[in-house]
Amino acid sequence: LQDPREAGAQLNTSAAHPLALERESPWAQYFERADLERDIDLDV
Amino acid sequence: VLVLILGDLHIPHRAHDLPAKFKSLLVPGKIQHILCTGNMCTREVYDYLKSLASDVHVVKGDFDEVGSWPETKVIQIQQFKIGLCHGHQIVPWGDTEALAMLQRQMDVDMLVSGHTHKFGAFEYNNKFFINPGTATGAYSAITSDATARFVLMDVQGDAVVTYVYELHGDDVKVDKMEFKKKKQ
Repeated sequence: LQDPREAGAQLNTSAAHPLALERESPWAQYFERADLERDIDLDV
Repeated sequence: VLVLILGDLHIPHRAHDLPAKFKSLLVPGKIQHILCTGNMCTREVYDYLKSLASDVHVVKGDFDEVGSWPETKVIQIQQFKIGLCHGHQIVPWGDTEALAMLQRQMDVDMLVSGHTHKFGAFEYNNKFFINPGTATGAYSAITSDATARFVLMDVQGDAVVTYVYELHGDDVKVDKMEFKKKKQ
């Protein structure tokens, strides 16, 4: 999993904050992938 | 970990609900801890916060009639010892020196207080002080600034990144601040 703090370091705060809902935001992607990983863990 | 800090909602006396924009941002599953500085003033707000994260800490504000919240509370999050207090007990209200006194009494790295409805985040004597302001933009007799705000902290070991969410009309403005704990 990519750390959203590093990925968002170059970005504007209003685009890269932890509650961002936009799909291209590193934080939104992070939470989405974390959810997916949790699901995979449960399934395996 | 992500820590949500908010307070002084004054529901239903001065505001009917959290701004819809804030509610759309605050979704379950992201935030681990919630610190509320009080004056929620209804049980429903507590239930709402509880739906966002299971670990909710609340202190009693001067308008809180329901619930038996303590006056102050100390919460340990990773390397940070965080003190929580509504702030109407600290006179003069919002005074840096008075806040620092409580911070020393509670022996915490960070003091979170509210009451003044005025946002503040600053370092003083190597300690960190946060006032999240009011989450609903509720009226206060002691400030003319009634912008709705809340604070989200990203705690990583001994460093914390603070995000401040401000509601301007229909837009949410986000500001970022960093604080690192100094070695004693």
